[in-house]
Amino acid sequence: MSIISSTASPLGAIAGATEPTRPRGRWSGRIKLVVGLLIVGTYVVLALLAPWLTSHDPTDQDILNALQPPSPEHPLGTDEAGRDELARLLYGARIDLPIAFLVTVLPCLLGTALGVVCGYLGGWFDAMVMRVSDLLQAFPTYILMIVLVFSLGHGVRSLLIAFTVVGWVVYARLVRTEVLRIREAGYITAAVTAGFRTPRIIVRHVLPNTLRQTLIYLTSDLVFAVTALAAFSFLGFGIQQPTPEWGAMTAAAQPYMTTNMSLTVLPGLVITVLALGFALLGDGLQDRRGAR
Amino acid sequence: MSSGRFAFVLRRLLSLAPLLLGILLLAMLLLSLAPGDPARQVAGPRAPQSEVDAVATELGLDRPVWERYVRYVGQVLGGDLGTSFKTGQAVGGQVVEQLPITLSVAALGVLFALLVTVPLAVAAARRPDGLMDHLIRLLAVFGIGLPTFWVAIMAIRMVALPTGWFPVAGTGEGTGDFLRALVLPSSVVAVSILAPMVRSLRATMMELEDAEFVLAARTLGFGGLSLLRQFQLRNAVPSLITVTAAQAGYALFGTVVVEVAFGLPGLGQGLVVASSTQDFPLVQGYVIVFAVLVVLLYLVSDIVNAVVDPRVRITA
Repeated sequence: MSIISSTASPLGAIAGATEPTRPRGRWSGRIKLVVGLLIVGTYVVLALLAPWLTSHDPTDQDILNALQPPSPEHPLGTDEAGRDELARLLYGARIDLPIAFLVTVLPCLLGTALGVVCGYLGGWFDAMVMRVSDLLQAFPTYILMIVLVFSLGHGVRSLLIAFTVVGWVVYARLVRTEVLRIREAGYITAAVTAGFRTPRIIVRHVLPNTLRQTLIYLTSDLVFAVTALAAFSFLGFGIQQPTPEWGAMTAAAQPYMTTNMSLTVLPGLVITVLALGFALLGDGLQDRRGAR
Repeated sequence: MSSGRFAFVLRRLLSLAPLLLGILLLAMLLLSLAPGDPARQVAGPRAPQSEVDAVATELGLDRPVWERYVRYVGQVLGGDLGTSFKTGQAVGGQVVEQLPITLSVAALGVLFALLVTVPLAVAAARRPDGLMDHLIRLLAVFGIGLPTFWVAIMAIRMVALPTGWFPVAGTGEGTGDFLRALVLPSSVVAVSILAPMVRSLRATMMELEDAEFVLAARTLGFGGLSLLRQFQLRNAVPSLITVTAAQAGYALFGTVVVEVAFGLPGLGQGLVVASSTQDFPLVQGYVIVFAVLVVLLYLVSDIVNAVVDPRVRITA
């Protein structure tokens, strides 16, 4: 309808307004999904095959050969400690990808569980969880995360806790709203009348219907996870050198950006493309939903 | 200001009190999770245990949590954010010194972002599904995944170093230098918050395309840019304000990263340094200041919205 109604004619506008669905979405949604899947899939494959794609150990130092330009031995050169840059980028996928997944999936699981219970049971538990989520939402997310990581010490465990403490809120609210809506649906009343017990109704009838929304949000959350994770490591709060993490690699290479530019360009580029992959996935899913 | 407006602002202000108390509680509790004994930090690693105990008593660390909380709230309300463990300076003074840099970077960043958002969203909404629309949407998807710290470093490497127009680190001397030093960091902050703003404004304007008053305007002969500007854009302003406020909160985090990358002595860099040196009162002070900034930001956006759009006062 958009083509018709964007012309100035009043007739066109009225005709457009009565047309129920927008034809856009389905096509571009599919393209986005495919490209997104291709990008993310490539990263997963590269992460899995890293040991076979390079013969170098990503943490092997060789100070005498630091900051070397690309050579047959080191296709992308070496970093400030003489480590092979290609190996570090490849093995970085084994650090950033799984951690990004973990810090996204854990809050999702916690939030979904809380959202279902809150929405289905209501009462004081619901009220309490919602007040806590109000407080957390009023807090600036990143500052809260920095403080949590600071308080709990560096490393993956702290990142996990920080992302979970902050991240569950959106999922809980999302799922709770869906559950409240679904609760009134005929098939739930039918299930209750049929005498099914509450846990079974939640798992078999309520949860599957909240999945689509959650999945869309989860995918866009991955974009955030990938960039935030690297940002935390860049600031020195996350994963530390010599572990091959893209954000930490960028920070370590910053002093050498005039002489060895690729050391700062490449890790960021690798993060950007991965984030783009997740963004396309999320967008594609959203478009397809819109087209239905 | 009408009485309805006044009541709304008053209600909104009152709702801040429990929130601020919660922020103080969280700030205190979170830092008590931190490893290491604050008293030992102050007394020094080789001080005898008796001295550590004395410091703990002096700092009130041996009192129960609720008592410390009440004391802390009183202290903060009195304008005292405590004393740095490392430098012995008042946390408040340090924060006040660094606040202008952070606020300038964030505010300029939001301003730059708005200046780009509106024309882009209008251009996209002009012909939905047209070439411009697709291009702008693609850019927005791309922009969401750009790591801010990397954009900052690229800005230094590709713009500041080759042109020499902007300082690579620090703020220089005098107002002119200061403003010049802000251009690149603010632009990077703008890039970090831009994409969701463009997407949201574009989407809102397209939704309004089907609104009755837009149809009415069309039948009256409005069309093209004037229809977009006078009807769709104007009615998208409240939602733009809300999104901008949310993104401004994000911009504050962006400034942390940007200040570190550009070596600007603002709150963000201060927080990172204080964290790495385990300076508890300083970290606590920064946390409170950042949280209060975000709370104030949302307050201002709600009030502005209530002034711009009368419907908010009724439904809120």
